[in-house]
Amino acid sequence: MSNIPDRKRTLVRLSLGCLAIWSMQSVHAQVDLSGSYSNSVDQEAQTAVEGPNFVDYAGIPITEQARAGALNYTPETIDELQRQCHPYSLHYLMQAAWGFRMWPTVDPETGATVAWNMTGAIDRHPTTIWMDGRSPPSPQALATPAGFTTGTWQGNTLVTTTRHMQDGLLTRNGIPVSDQETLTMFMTRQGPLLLITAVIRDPVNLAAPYVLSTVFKADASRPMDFVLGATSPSTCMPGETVQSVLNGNVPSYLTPEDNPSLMGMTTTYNIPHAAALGGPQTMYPEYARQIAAEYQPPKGYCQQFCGGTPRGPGRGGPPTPPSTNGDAAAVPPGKP
Amino acid sequence: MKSLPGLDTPTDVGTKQGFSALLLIGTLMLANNATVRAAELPSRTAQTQAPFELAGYWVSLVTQDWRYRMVVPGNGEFGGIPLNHSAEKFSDNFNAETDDAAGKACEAYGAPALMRIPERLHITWPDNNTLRVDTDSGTQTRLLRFEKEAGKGAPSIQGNSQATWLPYAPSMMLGIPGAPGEQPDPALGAPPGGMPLGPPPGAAAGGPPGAPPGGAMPGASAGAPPGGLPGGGQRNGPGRPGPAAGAAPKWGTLKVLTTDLLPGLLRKNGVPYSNQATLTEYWKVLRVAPDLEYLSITSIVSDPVYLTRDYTTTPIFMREPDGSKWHPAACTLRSAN
Repeated sequence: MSNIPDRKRTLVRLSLGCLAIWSMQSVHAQVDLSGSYSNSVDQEAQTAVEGPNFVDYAGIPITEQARAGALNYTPETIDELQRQCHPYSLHYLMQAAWGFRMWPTVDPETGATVAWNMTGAIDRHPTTIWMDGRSPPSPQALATPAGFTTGTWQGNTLVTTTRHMQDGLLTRNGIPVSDQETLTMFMTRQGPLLLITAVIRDPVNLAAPYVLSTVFKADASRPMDFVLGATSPSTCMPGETVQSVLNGNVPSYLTPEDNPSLMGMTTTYNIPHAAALGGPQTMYPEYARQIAAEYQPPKGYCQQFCGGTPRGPGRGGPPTPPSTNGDAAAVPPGKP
Repeated sequence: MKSLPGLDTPTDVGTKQGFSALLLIGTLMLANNATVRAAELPSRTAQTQAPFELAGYWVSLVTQDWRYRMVVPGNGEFGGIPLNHSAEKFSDNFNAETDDAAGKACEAYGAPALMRIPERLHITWPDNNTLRVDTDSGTQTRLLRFEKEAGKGAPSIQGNSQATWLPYAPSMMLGIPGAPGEQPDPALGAPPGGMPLGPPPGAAAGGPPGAPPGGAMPGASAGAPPGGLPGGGQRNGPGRPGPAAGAAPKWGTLKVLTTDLLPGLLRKNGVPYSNQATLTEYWKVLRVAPDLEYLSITSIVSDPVYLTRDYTTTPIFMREPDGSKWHPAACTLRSAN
């Protein structure tokens, strides 16, 4: 009889084994997203690399309030100490040229994935995607630059929801975003590609969901430090207020007419002014028909931010190196 | 035969019974799985295996590359396209007016560029193994065929598209009705205007509004059979019903490989692709809320003649409840759509 406990232990082990096999069916509903990813920047290349043009909100479903805020924006705004980290909430992942790295946090006892981690970039905070079903903070909890992110699996797609993000900028050209923003991301690994579609909602500044997509590619051949933020400080660290720029002034344009880029998209690209001011109507096909009569392609050859092969100025010269301070293109379109 | 550790007393009836019970459970689990699969076999078609509903109307959301998509960009605006010198030279010599007058406007509506045109899609199942995608802009038709080599024709503007489901349903293997957390986020609520979704009335019916009898679409690609689909695309009947209540959810992606393309334009300012171009696409429906669905189509254009590497984009569409905003328009190089 002395071996009865052993037998019981064996039965327990066998039972646990069966349960493990069973539960693996659900565990397999999770895909291993670990790895380093780079962005080929085939979409929104100028936005990702040089930065968007000022007063170019076409295709963004902004509200009147957001437009007013954006027209007041000057790039010196982020020289203010308290705003230096504002522009780069998680949605910036979809708008920047940077790649990132993902890795899981695994419970050492159960092996369950507690969280997925994403590196930040120079000025975007790292993200933790909690997978353990924990409750989000209360609505009154402090909003932070990183926000609070949870994730669930829909088949092979990781669906994340981020809330509690600090108010800041929706785009690098000054469209504001409130602390009521909700960011939903659908992340699907398809072979070497990581396809991310993001749905941004903000009842204050967006009249409709703002949907963006970006394709990242796993690239293990890249050096470890190529993925910015992976091996260097990846958190936005406020520095000093640039007194020489601010000189005691609050940086903003008092009225839209004071904004020197107000007509920039029209003078440079012939884009109708109303289109450049954005709004939900500008992202639908019928709007293209609406503006077709008043639009003519520019007569001259593209002079800046043209893409193409390196053939010299005005002929698709090499792209400007990425901005490292997060400023949008400092020069209005067409104005050297 | 070597005994299992701890089971070296064959006379222990209770232990043996427990072990047998475990084996029985395992066998039943596998049998259940086999039964589920066998039951599916007789009715397996591309339509019945669809992990999500594509049939219906979809509208482009042009939130990215607006200046290249919603208007015809100016000369030399190549942003984002990894083109080579040959392509640049082609574009420099391109004249939209000349090509428009020569009836070449639909070259800008070929499969590698078509999904980025601001437009509406009408997707139907003309038969159980073919998806038909009609566009109002340019009135083009793509046929995504799931049967290999079926209907394969000569090179055309839309080419030959081979479709494959890439299913992902591991939680169904043992008949488990879904994994925890596989639900849309209810907190996201409805979109402005709260449009009703689900397969809309007539979503799976043949051609789009305004389609001529017989289903032949003006300007339709050479990939479509002459005279349109047999029965004018009307023989598909009602749309594939959504998953029954309580049914196990299914997940996956639609992969489409398009070859046999005629040369065309990636961008209306003359950026070309050649007849050696291929298009690989991953279609996926993303359900944000019961009444808010997006269709993302990740498109990878490969062209050894005019591109230095793959050109990858993901146009996004939003489901619409019906075809009331369908606006057929002929191909043009003078405007975006």
